Amino acid sequence: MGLRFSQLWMIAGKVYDELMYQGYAATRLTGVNLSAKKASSVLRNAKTYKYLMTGIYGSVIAATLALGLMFKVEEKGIAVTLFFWVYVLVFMSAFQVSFSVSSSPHIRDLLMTLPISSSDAQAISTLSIVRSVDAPLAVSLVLPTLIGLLAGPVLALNYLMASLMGASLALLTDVLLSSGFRKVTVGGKASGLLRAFSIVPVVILASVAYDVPVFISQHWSPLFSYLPLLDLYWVDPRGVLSSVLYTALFVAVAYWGFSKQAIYLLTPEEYVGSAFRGQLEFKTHSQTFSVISLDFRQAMRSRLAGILVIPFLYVVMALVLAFTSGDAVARDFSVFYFSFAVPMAFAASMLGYALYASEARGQAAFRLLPISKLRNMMSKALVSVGTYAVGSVFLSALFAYFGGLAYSVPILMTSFPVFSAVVFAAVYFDRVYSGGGAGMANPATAALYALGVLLVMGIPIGSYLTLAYAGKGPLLSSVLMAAISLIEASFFMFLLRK
Amino acid sequence: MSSAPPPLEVDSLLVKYGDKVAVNYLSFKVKRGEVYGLLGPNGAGKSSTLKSVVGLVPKESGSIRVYGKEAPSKDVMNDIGVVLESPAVFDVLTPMEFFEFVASVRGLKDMGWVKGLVEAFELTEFLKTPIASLSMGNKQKVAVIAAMMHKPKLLLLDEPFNGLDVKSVRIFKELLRMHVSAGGSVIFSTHIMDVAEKICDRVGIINEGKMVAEGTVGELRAKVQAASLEDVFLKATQEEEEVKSILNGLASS
Repeated sequence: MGLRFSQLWMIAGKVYDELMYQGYAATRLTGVNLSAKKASSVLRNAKTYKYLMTGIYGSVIAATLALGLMFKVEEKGIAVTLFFWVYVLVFMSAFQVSFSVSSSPHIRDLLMTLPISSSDAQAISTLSIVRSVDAPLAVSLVLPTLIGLLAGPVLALNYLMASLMGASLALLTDVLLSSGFRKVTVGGKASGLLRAFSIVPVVILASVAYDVPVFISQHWSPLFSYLPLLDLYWVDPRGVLSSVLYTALFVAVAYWGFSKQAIYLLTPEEYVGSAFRGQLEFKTHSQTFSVISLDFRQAMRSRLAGILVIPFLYVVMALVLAFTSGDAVARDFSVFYFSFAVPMAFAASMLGYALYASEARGQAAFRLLPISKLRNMMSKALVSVGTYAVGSVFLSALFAYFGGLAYSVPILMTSFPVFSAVVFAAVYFDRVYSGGGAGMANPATAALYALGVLLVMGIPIGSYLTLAYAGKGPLLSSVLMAAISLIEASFFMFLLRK
Repeated sequence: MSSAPPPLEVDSLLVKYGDKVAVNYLSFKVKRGEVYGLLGPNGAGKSSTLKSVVGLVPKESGSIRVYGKEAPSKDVMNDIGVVLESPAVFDVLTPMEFFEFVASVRGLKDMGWVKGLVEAFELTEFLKTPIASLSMGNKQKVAVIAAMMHKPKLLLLDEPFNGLDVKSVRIFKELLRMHVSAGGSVIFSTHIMDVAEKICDRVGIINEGKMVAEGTVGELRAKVQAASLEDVFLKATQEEEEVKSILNGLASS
């Protein structure tokens, strides 16, 4: 006889705790033991982080819907924006869970040693995953429906369907990615590419969340009512009918896929290698190159690989916009700089963060080697600034073509704030990990880091923009930006050496 | 008389996790050319002591010197090879990539010794298999080779025989003998008294972070009139009576 639901719920609660712990902490810190007190605090932080993330995205969703209702702007198109935000929120939350699932064979092993049937084990797995994304799902479905009710039941239903579609597709994407991660050999080229591009849909959807609905409404065609997502405009009864059908379809497929995810919980990611053949030859390199190469390998074989792709997405988006908008690039240079170069710089600076975070997967091994903090930081800076530099060459060529050579200077000089942000990340990680076996970042310190990066990059970039608006010209403004960044970097290097 | 500093000198080491004292003003020295065994029950502070030498656990107070140089520091890491209780490796790399990385960071040019170690521990066929998918024993071999590849003067080994097969244990023990014969030193912790009895020149028994007995195995046996190191251990940690009482309880239940 199977277990009662209350028993399944209780056991799933323990698995849920483990999933949260693994997703937030342990998998990132292989090789480092945590004390009992720290492990409890990590678990607490993991749950706080889940609610924090839900709160932030929930606020964005609430603000978007409330502003749309207040100003009556593209009222129906808002359902599409809502779809995008719900997708991002649920995808990111489930992605975090799948991260932990992929590295936790012991969860399966433990369940298999218990005297329970395979269907009970399956139910426990499903329940534990549902509990891991309960808050994002609840906020995604309840909040828009309640706000929609303020304008009547029709809009509430419209929002509910948009949310259901967004959440279903997000879960489905996550299931597909998890399935993909398991099908390709970790360490192979296909694996690296899959990991690197897994984040692309989220970045694109977050970037176009507000633009697409406006664009669609300006170019409306009656046929759009039959297309998934665009049916949400509800301009005629065909749209309403399409929405009902698509929502039912998406929910059914996602439910089926999510059940598959629970099966994956029982069959974690396998690392498969090939038997070594041939002449045994080891190749050694310089210390800096070997650290860079290690960082890249670790990042490409983790779920952080997506961060490597983001800077180049901005180049692609800028290219598309420049060639569709023509000389508007030169006319509104500051706007374009702020829309593309600045996010690209922030994304490149995140590489430093991602590489340090990847390193944490073998923190104990790393700390047993004679690598100075400064050399380690320089290797991360080379990758981050190098990535920005490659992207900025394209962007500056674009700006030089449309507006003149002087416009390319600020683009190139923005590499200085990227450098100072990496030095800041080095100090942050040094302080976080030097606290003991595993100085674990909690939501408060992670928020502090985010705020720090905003300031470290924001002050020089803000100074540049202020001077540029005051008509001081791109050259002088850029030099000031670089000078401020160098002062910041020197200060952080001093802290790092201490 | 030689005034060269000892390979490892720990003086009044205090390690705490919050309010809990893990290592309680511990002092000891490891001499040149000796294998020093750090023994103690679970949670006695062995791993914390070894980890504090390399900076994986911060010390509250006290001093640690490796060949006279203050530890932990980057300089000291060139003289030390470390095997931790949980193999300190990069799971997503293959052993080949990991060895190349460690060798590059340590500035090694001649990889002949590494090749020899790989062949001795029969790891060749697993060189392109991600470390994550290796068995516990093979992971341990990877950690052992990484610790020994730069021929360090001092080996710090925390439960180094974990998961190793009989043949590998024999090879590793012989390597340790060769290492000390060449003037190197070893400090290692273990729960296995038989191994400690066979390969340690001196042992230090710690309990609740404090040194409760220290000397050669022969000296300690003579001191408490015990037949084996296991008996010495149980007496020193005052667990002998407890063991008897537990066994009596189990027998009568």
